[in-house]
Amino acid sequence: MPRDGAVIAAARTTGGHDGNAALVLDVRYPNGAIGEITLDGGTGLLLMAFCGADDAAALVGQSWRVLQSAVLGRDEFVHGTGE
Amino acid sequence: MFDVVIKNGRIVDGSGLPGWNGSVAIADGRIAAVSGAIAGPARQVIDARGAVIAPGFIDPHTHFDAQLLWDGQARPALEHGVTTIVPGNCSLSLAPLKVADRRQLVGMFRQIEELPDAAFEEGFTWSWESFDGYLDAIRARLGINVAPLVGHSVLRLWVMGAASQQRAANSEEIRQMQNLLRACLDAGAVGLSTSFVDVDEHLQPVPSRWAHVEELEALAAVLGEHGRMLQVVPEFYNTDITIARVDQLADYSLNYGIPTTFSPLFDSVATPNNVTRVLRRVEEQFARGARVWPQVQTRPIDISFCFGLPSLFFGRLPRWFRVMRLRTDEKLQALRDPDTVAKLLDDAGPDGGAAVFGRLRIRSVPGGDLALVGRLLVDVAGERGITPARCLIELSLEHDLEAHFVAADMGHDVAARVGPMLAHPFVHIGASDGGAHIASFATYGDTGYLFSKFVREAHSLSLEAAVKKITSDTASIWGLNMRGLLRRGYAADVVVFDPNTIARADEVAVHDVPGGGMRYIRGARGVQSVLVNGELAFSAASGYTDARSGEIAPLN
Repeated sequence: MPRDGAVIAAARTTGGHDGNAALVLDVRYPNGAIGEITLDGGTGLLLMAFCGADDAAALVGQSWRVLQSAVLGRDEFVHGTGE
Repeated sequence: MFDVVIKNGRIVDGSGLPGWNGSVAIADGRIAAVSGAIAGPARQVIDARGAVIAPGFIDPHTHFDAQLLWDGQARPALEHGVTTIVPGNCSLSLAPLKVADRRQLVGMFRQIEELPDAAFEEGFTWSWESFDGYLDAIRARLGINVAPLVGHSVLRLWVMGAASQQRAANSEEIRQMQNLLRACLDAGAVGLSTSFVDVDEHLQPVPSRWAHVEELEALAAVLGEHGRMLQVVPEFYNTDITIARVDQLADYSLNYGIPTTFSPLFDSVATPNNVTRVLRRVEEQFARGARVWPQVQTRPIDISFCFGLPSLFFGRLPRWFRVMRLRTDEKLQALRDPDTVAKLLDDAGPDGGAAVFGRLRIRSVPGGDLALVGRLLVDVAGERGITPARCLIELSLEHDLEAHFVAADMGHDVAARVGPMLAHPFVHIGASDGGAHIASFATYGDTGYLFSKFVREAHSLSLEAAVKKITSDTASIWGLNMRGLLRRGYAADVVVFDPNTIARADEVAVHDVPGGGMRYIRGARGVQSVLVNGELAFSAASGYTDARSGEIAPLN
């Protein structure tokens, strides 16, 4: 775990209030506490792109700071590359 | 001579008391008698044999603000038995609004309600700036009762203009907002709505989100002068912040003597402790004497997607996810490439995608091919002799990536969990969002679903308790005067329904939004007659009537 803060401990998809798939993250803090945050579809997709993740499970272990970057830049969705 | 007598039904009067056999008489828009036997002639007699006679349902969370300007019956809400609606939620109302600010507000409505620009250009003529001017604009064609909220974002926009989305307000601006809110409340607003979540069409926070706590508290103080409601969209994506908002609302409630309500609050296997934790704090605040009503919806959450846009639905299928994030031309090329398709099929699992895609329905395709729309993907795949995963790809290619699919029951769908929530004494059944998200899913029929799923199937509530939850409880929470009960002298808002069949119908796409826009709706099943202020507004036999007997709901 990075010394400077919390990390993503788990990631799963769910149904969002707006009818789009959403992303639920468990964030583990340095003191062991776990918080839960739900990202709407747009923000979740940007987070996946920002982290270069093709699978929500690949977010596990990332610093909480990637969330900040995704939220701040959610109107600049970056396309990934396909097979 | 009565105007209407509804006879031989089972009276479920909204009080929660056991139903009994009787009749309801109506005169001059009010309930004249509720009795086992009503003597005297009537101009119109409705036979309710085998059916329930109940107060009209009240929907406390809608966004019909614009629709009411071209459709005063808020279709299809009315045919579900809803006789009173609360528009203006989530910080947005259509008044008060200066002419110069119309464009900006339309952008917010477009983002949140998914109403196309054409609806605002072709659906009505702007004729107001003030709140009472807007009420005048909708009043003449009202076929449903309206208890309108005024939006905090709109107050800010009026007072601060573009700065409403740039900074906190100063003391003079707050004072002006207070005066503006007073005028709206005097005109008939049922309260104030605000949001800590919503964004405009540029994904920028709506004006209410720029307010400092002093501003919201100052507006709560004005609500206290009238004892009116504060409706809030909290940061529902995080349980801890939502709980902090419960505490904030409780303080306003206690300090200013106002009711407060917040939504959405919904259950999910992905967030299993969310509702439980929030309700525990709500209970603590009610024990202090505060009124903080969480609104919980009845319907499950469905999610939809098409291959034209990326979706987190594929968040656990890495190869599919990678393809969906490609540009359209690259995506088409990938889906036509045998090697890529082979990898996708492999990713879908040895069952050919039956487990991950088996519950998908084909929601819409360009042209609306009736041989496809509404059908399970697995059935269409079976007819074609291919796996569901390959069928998903084929259908998407056949329709240029514009085939839309829906995955039903992706949240708030476990009746054993949701039922007790709905029955909880501090839970306010609502959050339908009627009139919003119109191009994404149908926000109508939650009342029918309450009866079909949680009364008949799961037995979470009795029939009488369910009726009370969406009639007299709602009227009491919001301070609606003389509504929500079948009592002599009360407004004659009445619904007659078959308790054995009332339900929501399947979701369908219609193109009835002014300017040719599309929306998803659901019709009603089992609702026989709906009366608004004593006039028959809808019957299953004849459909909608020409009655325009709705009113701006008087408040306590």
